Amino acid sequence: MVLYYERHATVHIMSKSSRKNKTIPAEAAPPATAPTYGIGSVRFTLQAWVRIIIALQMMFLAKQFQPELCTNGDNAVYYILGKSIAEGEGYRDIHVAGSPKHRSFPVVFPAFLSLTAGISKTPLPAKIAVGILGALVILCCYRLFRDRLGSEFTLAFVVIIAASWLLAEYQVILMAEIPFLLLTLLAILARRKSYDKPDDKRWFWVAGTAAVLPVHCHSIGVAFSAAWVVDCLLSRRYKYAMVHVALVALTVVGPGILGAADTGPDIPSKGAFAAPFIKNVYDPEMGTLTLKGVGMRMLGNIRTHFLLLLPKAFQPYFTMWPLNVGQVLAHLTLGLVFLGLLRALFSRYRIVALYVVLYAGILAVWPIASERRIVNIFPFLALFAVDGLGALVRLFDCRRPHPFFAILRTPGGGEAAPLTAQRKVLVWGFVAILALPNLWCRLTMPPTGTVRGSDWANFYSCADWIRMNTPPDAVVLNRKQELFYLRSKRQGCMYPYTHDVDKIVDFLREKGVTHVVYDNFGWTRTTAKYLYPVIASHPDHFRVLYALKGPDTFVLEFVDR
Amino acid sequence: MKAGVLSRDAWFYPLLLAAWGAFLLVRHANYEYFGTPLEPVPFTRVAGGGLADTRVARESIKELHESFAIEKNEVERGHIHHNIGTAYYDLYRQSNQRSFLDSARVYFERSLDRVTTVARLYYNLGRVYTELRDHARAKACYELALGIDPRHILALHNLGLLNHFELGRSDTAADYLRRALAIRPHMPICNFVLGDIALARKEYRTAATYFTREIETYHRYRQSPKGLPVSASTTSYALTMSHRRLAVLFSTKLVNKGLAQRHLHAYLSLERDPEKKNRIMEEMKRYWVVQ
Repeated sequence: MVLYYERHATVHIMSKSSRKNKTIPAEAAPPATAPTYGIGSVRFTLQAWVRIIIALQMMFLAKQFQPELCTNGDNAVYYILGKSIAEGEGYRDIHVAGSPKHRSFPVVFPAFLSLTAGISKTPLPAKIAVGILGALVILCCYRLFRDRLGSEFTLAFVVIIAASWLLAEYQVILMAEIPFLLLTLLAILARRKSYDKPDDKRWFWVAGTAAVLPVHCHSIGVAFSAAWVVDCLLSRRYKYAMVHVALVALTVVGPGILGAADTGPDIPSKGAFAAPFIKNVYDPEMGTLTLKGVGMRMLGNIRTHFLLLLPKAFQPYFTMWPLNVGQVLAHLTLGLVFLGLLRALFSRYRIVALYVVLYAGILAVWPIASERRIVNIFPFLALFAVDGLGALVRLFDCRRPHPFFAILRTPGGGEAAPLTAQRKVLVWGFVAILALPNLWCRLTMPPTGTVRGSDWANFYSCADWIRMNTPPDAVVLNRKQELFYLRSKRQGCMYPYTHDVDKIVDFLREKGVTHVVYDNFGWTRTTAKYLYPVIASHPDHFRVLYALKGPDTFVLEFVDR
Repeated sequence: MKAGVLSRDAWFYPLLLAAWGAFLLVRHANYEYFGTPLEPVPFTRVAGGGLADTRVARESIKELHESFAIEKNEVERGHIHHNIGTAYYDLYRQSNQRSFLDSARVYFERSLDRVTTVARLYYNLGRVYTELRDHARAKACYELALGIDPRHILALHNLGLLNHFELGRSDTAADYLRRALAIRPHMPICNFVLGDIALARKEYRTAATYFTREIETYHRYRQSPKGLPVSASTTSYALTMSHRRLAVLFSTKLVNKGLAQRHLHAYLSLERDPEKKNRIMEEMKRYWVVQ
């Protein structure tokens, strides 16, 4: 049975366009009858396949989904900021003693989360909302890049990003990565619409506004803003560049220049500019790096990204395959990514390539190399990989041979004739090699946020004890103040990283600390390093109120005289 | 299949995502973010004020040693040495092993090679020398601490006790202890020692006043949330002995049978050693028969 899902949709698009008397660009015009894909009699149109893939992806995601916040402190900070906005407290760290203005994360994602705060007192609706945004990311990718890749490769691309363990991981935790990614995609999509409809000024302003949102969602969005301006200048779209610069100046730099930073959100770009030169982001007192230090960090970051993080983003088990096959496959994929990136630089999707290059530049000097940063560009990397594969396949097509040096301009899937059966097997084999380990990883990996050792259980138990046994205005010193606040409903602070115990005692007095949680986390030993000497050298200042074993965890009262 | 409502993305995706969200909301409808605290373990603080057993101190020492690799600042390195010394001293108080005390001394001395402006560092080395019964060095360390911070209450306190119990200089001891009480009137054991000094000078009323203050201070601060800067055993010793001294004083020099009986009963309820109890009973019977 042959299924044609899209006939009416096509007619609708055509009639809508003709009603407005607009010319549809040749490459965007859908054929009168959409081609179908599949095996045997099970055939669907591309759009139907995408729906099926997204529906399946959401099913997988429902299995992975856990209502708890994961143990990463940042997701708690985002949630708390959303709560603060929803409760009318402003953009404040209400979990910190004194509720100071927040100075680190841009405002867009917390503002979005504030919309969910009224639904429930738990983070559940906020987490569901982020999961939904993740599905929209896949949909946007499909809409944005189908012209570039053509139907066959678009399907492969959608399968790869829908199967990705990395994107799925960040869809089920409360991080700004997925919303940021969606905003970058929406901005590029809006700009393309605006280019396609030059007479429609609404799209121009929609694109201009959308382009400013990423930098307000994630500090690293400065890379996107820079790519936007450079691409607009190279394309001689000066108005787009000027409007973007003006809007960024108005919304980002303006408050800082006017001295309004104390009353408004922090300058989002500050973190992105300052962080690369700070020795230790968790201990700013350590000062800034020398030029040699920056160079060493760059080398280290490049090595970490190319040998570990990027291969792992595509192949979660790349080190576990026999005979290093996983490593070879992962690095072949990276080779395709590089090829696709070069090709994109010469295409109408140059902004994506520029963005990824600038983003990689920031990653090279970023103090912490983490898979988290790759989420923001993963769909683009997958796009490059598929596009690179498409170019290679076309290059060796005996029906239409191309000179090797023309590989950068070899037509992509969208511009070329259908693939032969053998090449289809090659492409789908590549997709299977990428997608199956990712799906396996998603099926077998413990759901995010549930992997908690007894150290976390004891820590949260202390928070529960504090909530039930201390006055509401108690101030609690602890290692994870954001997560602790949500559970204990008590404001807190984190000890400074100094070996001078008197400085820490002065800090406790200054913050009005009433209780201290002595944790025994397995992932960090800072409490043993910095807090234990304080307790041991000032025994009269601390009194144990609540103690747990395995590992030893305490709630102590801070007795100041 | 004929194209229907679901054939358009504008309908399909909102419906799909809404259904997904609703499914998760229903599935986790009973989810409660807050929990109930785990059952606490009985906990008695060790003599040195450390936490639990020696594991915590040992882990701290390990972590602090690793800090040397990344810490280049000499002052911070001095503090690391001091903190390792503190952890070793804590281990000594828990296990009573002399080797820990020697390690603590070594690290405290190293810290003073790098940091010379912090009174606490001298005070802690003084404590180690006190334990090692090197009283001359201990005294020098406490005095250096006071040279930096004349109001260092613990240095004043320890100098007072050192002069009284070990060096036999009651006048000097009384001077330090009065200074300590001027800064912190509820400082434990100070009143008791001052009472003993007055007793030696046969100033019985003054002695009785100091012993009574010691007892009052104990009861006042036992109920308050404030911690005590000296160990519980020392504080308890001062309380018990103050009751005993007063029982004897009110039986002999400042005759008041009611007060004598009250302090005797208080002493008997606090004293755990039956031999000491019998001894005081015999002594008391003698006084009361005489009277």
